[in-house]
Amino acid sequence: MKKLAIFLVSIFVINASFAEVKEIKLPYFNWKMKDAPGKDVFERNCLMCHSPGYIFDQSEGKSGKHLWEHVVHSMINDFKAPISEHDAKIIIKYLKENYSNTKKRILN
Amino acid sequence: MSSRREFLKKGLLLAGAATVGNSLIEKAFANPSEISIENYPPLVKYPTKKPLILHADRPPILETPREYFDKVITPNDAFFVRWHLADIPTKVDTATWRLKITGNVNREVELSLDDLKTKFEPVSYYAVLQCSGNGRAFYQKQQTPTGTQWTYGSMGNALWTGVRLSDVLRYAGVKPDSIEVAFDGLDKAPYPKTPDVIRSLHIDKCLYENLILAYEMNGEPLPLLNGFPIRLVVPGWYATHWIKSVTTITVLNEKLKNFWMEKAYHIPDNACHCVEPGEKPKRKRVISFMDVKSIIAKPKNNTVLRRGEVVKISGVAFDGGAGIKTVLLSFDNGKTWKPANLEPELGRYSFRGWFYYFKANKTGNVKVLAKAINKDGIEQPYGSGWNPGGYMWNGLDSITIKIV
Repeated sequence: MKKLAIFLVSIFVINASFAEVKEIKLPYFNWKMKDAPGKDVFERNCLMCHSPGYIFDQSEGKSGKHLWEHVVHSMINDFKAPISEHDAKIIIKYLKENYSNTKKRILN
Repeated sequence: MSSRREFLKKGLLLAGAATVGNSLIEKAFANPSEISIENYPPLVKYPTKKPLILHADRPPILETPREYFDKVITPNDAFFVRWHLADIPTKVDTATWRLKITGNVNREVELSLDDLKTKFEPVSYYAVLQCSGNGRAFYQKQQTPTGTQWTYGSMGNALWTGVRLSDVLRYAGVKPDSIEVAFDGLDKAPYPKTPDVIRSLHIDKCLYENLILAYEMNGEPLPLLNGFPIRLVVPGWYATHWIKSVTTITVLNEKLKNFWMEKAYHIPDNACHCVEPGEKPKRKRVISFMDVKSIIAKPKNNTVLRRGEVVKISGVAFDGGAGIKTVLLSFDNGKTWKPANLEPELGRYSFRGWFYYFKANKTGNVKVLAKAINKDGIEQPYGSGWNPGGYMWNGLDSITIKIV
């Protein structure tokens, strides 16, 4: 009886080591973008695919002129984002006016 | 009886204390209630991870803080995270998960994780995983390239255990006219027309070099955030080639053409892989092996010491596979160099730990520079040549020590 129990336990352990389920729950973060005209158009078009962190890491000025034109058109051409030309103009204006030289990263 | 009861009571008390202790530790770190440009990039806690620097959450882009590089092995729970597409795998059941080998092969094969672990010989080695854009933020002295503004920590070193890619390919039987092998993982773009992350490597690299499909990282299954259940390991090459959560391997008799192979992760095709800031390179090529580099992990920048005090300066050095020969430190802006002590070598693809005991002799500020030299005699440059992608930063690292 004891032997059988050990045998069953060992089978269970072996089986348990063979199949594994891994699962995580990603945390939610509350991002605050600047309130200004065009914010809603930005949110509607851009946030389906990526977080505002993609905006905060960039800044027009230090990245050269026309950064946001370049970025928005890359989203349309390279990543096939379904953004209309009309919306693209509003998004570029919103990003230019609110996320240009707003932040100097302090590096140590 | 009473002693047993006492013992149980103590045990329960201890267990209770442990629970309280853990929850206190959990409570001690709270994720920010709001993220704005003012507190960006914040330190955040993800499940299975220590607090890391958050660049983005969809998809998760998390950076390892600099101080972790005082150790040669980067712990799994501090290892950086980088995905390209927001629909990342958050649940994987290995009972149903399969690795498919298809395309230009004699027989299409589907392998379970168990098959991989039992049908093939396991191999292990240490290798540095580094994002192509690690250190991109330091190009801001020239012109900020677009992309995640990583500083030190989109890199880590782990012991990878898995099976040889060549063994798995030969198991399926590679046809003689094959020229590339493509790798696809479980991640998907929320918008179906976005190009899926599929990358390819030359057939010779896959059949005759030491690439592995790793199912363990530092002796444990890979965290989901780092590519569970298996990840391609391409030692010496940048992380863009190390496809996570690989599910499909396709042998090809033509070159893979997609955004990821034709446009993304390209560097200027010249000796310095650089151009003038803002300029576009005339010829480009896919990024491949890593340049020689060292990082100062400790002490913290602007550490204050009293005159006469001694501090241990420590960090890591690595390259694309020649191995590290020397790490030199300068305390006089590069006029003279002193060799650091090297820790034992863990293989030519691993971090090489180094340290130096510095005595604060004179008051004032001392700038410490670190420079690695690899076994091919290639020295880490003072600065790194600019390129539009902001890739391959390997300029000399420095810290300032203040002596009072």
